[in-house]
Amino acid sequence: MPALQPPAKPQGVLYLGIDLGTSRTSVSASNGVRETVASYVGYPKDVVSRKLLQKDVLFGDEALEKRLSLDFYRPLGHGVIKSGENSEKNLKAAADLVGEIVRRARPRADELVYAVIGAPAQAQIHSKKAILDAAREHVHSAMLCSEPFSVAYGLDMLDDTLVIDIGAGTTDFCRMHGTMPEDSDQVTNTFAGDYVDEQLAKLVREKYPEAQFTIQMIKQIKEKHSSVSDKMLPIVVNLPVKGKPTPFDITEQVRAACRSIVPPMVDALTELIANFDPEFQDRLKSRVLLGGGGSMIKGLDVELERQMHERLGAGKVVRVEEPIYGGANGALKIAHDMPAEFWEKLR
Amino acid sequence: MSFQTGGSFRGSAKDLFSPAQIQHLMRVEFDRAQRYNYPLVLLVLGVDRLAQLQDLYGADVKDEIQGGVAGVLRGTTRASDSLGYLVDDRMVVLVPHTPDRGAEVLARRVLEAVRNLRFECDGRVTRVTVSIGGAYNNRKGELSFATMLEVAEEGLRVAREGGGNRYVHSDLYDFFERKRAKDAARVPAPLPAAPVQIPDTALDALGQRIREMFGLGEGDQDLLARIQREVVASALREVQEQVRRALPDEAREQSERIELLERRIAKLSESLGMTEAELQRVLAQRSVDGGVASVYKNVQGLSASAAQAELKKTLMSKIFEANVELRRQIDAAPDARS
Repeated sequence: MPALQPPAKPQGVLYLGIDLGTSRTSVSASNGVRETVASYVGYPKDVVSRKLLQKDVLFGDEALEKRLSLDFYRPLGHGVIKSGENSEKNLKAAADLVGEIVRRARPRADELVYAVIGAPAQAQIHSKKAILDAAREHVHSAMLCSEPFSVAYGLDMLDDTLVIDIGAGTTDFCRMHGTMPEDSDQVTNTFAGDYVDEQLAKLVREKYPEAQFTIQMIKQIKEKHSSVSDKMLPIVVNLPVKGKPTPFDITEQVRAACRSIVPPMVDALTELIANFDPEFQDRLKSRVLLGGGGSMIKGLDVELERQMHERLGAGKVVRVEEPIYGGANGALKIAHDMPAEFWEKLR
Repeated sequence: MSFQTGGSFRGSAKDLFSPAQIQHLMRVEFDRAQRYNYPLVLLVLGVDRLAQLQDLYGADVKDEIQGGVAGVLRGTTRASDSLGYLVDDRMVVLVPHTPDRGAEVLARRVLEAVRNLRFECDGRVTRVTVSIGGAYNNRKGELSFATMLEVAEEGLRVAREGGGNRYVHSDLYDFFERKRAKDAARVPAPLPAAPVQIPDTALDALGQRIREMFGLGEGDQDLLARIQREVVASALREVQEQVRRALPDEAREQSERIELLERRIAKLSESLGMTEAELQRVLAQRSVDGGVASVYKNVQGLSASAAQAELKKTLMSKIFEANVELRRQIDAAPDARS
């Protein structure tokens, strides 16, 4: 893909912090713009749908809504651009998605655009290459950065902190101890939002085999009602049965599905704490930072603390104030703090 | 074969109003000028020997030359003047609020500018001239738009027959006005009356009435028949005369209605055009986002007073080095995706 040429006479520098997520892609920009879009991309299937939709490409919820008329892509899976079958198409969809999120940041034509993009902590080189390829068409210089690190950097929590970034495809764990986290400081697992969706769908199907639903419907239910609390209001949803909307109580199923990611999270925390300097382990336990879309599950911080107390003897969990933009805000801060010569060298 | 226009005037005849558009505009402007009593000039012009030039240099030449002349017209007229082309490759310029002296000045300026146009064809330079016919509305007495146009066209004809490269104002308003009035009055003669079939009951009633009026008896059948024929013939003549008188009035009424409708169409076309232009402007503004300016004019970098500045500086270096290393690995294995 051709790299974006800089303007003849740059009149400013626009920094972008981009969180390219499996479920949502968010941007925070140095012009004050903050935008988020569901990570869906669709292209009209044929001339008829092109004429009807009046667009060459659709993004986010609009693409989801019109997906029957579209070649529909969710280009990111487990936090990286999907490879395998349709890899080229996923790469193009990801590039278009990056282009769209940059466009939504509303850069001026006469500005240089420098972006820091959050990538999963343990993404492979081919995934990082794909993200960079997608970005270079739309920004003048781009750097990748570990997602959980950018969350911590955004909150100035660089010492003795354990960051948990719960996305749709992956949950990233990062141990911050006053230096750049290395591979051994980071753990990624796939017990994240999509896993909760699958569990919830499975549990509802087992309990109510007659109910008809799609994974999208389950995802919407989860986003509205997700909770791990022991005491929660009954969750009654209408699902069609042979075409007729029928009420179902899925309170237990939602709680069980949301709780299913907690033990693997505690496993990962245990791993990162256990192999850390014993003198500082207690400080790590007392500063666990919970971010990402998954952190919006009600009661998750309390449940994590409870299980940490059970298995590790202590635990204090703090939620990020803005789960959707936590990663993007941190990436923006990194972009701002990066010296000029570094940006120049990577152009 | 290439054909290029030299000089500062460049344009395209396609930029001018079409015959239908300019006809509407001219009529509207003429009516307005008559109503509000301001001077109006109409110039009709054509490139001299255009057909021969086309035969000589090819079909593209005509467009190029007409484009050049259109460019001249654009350059020498005001934005408020209307430019269009008529059939037979003639162009027309409508110049409102301009007296006849101003028209002469304008015409001479156009003649000179066209003379200075230079067309290059395969290295050979060709020059062209135009002929111009003019007409004004600043005369006493009745004047119709059709007459004004005919006067201008007559001027163009005379200018061409005189060798071209000139401006002629024929001043034949009265002649064309009379001709036009005569044509208007020449209404089609009523169609020959078809044999009239008068119902027997009507004839019986007429006979009865005549008998009563003239006191005719049974023996006066011949006289009765003669009077009946005379009455019927007289009635038919009167009907035909009424029809003949009614036709011009009806034609005039229809003509006025057509003109009124044409004016309305022109007005609606104009407002439609303006609305479309405005919509296009708004749409263009929608699709081209000017963006929001960043608060930074230069690359910032870490402030020395930032919290944990040294640590952050180290972290920035490490992130940069990791990205450099990533690029190096990607460059070393360009097929990293596979």
